[in-house]
Amino acid sequence: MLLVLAHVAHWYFWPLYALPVLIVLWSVIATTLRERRASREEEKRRGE
Amino acid sequence: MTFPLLPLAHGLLIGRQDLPIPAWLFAWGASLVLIVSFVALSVAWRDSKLSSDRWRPISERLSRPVTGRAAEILTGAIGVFLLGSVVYAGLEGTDEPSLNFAVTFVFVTFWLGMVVLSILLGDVFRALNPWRAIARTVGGLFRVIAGQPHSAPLRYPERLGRWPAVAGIVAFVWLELIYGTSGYETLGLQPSTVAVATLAYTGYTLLAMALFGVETWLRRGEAFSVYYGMFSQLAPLEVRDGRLGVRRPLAAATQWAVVPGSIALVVATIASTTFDGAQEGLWQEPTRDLFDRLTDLGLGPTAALRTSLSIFFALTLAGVAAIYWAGVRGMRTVRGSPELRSLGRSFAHTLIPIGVAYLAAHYFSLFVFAEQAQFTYLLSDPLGDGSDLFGTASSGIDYGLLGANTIWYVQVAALVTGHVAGLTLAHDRAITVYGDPDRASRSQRWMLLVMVAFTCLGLFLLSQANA
Repeated sequence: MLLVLAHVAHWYFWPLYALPVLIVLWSVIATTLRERRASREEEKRRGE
Repeated sequence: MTFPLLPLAHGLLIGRQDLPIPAWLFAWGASLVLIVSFVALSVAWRDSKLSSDRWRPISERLSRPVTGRAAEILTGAIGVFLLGSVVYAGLEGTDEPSLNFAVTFVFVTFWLGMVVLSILLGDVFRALNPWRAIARTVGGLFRVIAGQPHSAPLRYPERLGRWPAVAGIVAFVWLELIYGTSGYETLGLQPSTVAVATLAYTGYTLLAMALFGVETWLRRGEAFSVYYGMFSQLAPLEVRDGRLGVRRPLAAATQWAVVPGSIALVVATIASTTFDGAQEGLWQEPTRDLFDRLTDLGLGPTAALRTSLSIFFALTLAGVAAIYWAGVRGMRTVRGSPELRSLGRSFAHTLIPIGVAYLAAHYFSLFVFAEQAQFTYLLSDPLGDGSDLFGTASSGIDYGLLGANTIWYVQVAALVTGHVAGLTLAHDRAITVYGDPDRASRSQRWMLLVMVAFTCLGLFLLSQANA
């Protein structure tokens, strides 16, 4: 039991390692959505 | 209330208080290096430069000693001698794994050392492969006695691709990491077990070679030939039609993943190292919980431990595959992408440098320390029976050779270099697949995500293992 608790500290730090992944994921998704919206608007403008 | 304090037993910075900055900041720094590399590739790498490996032969005078008949016989004989030594030491030597030549040779010198040689010098294992040497000798004798060459009675099912080799590599890793040891409890892989496993694999390989043909089985099913062959794709040297030549490093890898099972092989490579790291940290407590549940259900401790670890190994394989396929699925959102399976296969080779990075980062210190044993007391006293063949039996391992910080910096450097190489291969392939550099860059945002995820995962596992 003591051994288990002594290693719990390691788990506290995973968000620090996950943060760069989440930032890149967010920027990839945001950029993809922005580009899709821009291309849809472009197509709509061409249609008009 | 003492127990809430115990979680901080290793200190606030995960035990590596000797580092000038917290370990997690290295993950941020490595991610930044990858992002900068991605931008640089998008701006400056506008044409495919790695589609052709530009192999050219070196002079016949330099090539012949390496590729000639005498060299082939010599290297084959060395391979057979080492195979015999492993079996003999395993069966006749001491039961103590660390004092028996067989265990360190198979799991460190051969398993890790051959990867290093393959990356630097090309497909060295083909020359040293004892099973190839035995099969070719037997084939030669058959030709002399029967007056005709032996022809394979069965046609290898091409749809199997490299899958038999994947099964072989997973079985080898299972033997090493699960059958033999676990992160917190040593069951002990006996040298005799290594010898018996070697004999069983020898029988299986020779039978498969007899059924499907030596060269076919070496290309598709012989686990170690396929495994080291994968790493040799990164090397600047290659023997082609009996002639040694030089080529662009990394470039040959672009032609590698054309057969089924290639993605699985490279995923298994990364997952094996990930699992070995995770069982020292990330998987330690979940494995213990599952072990307790299984023993409560009446399973014996050894069976419970092996079952728990096998389940977490399978989860690791699935997790690594999921990261890769998530990236490939992301790439599919770019207009003009090929169908999913084809896209996945097109980029599988980009994971090879990551496999190397994970191996280097995880096993660097083990390799340096264990090889001191291999070339001193295990060489002089291979059976652990007190002999001293070369006068080095009383030597030991100098653990002061590498400091903790040196090991950490090598680990970080290996991970960053491997992932930048992977990103470069992916960007180059994307230009070929998508035809125009802008769409290629758009698709490669997803591979950047894959590379950042593998880098951060690798550093997280190392920080835990080092804690």
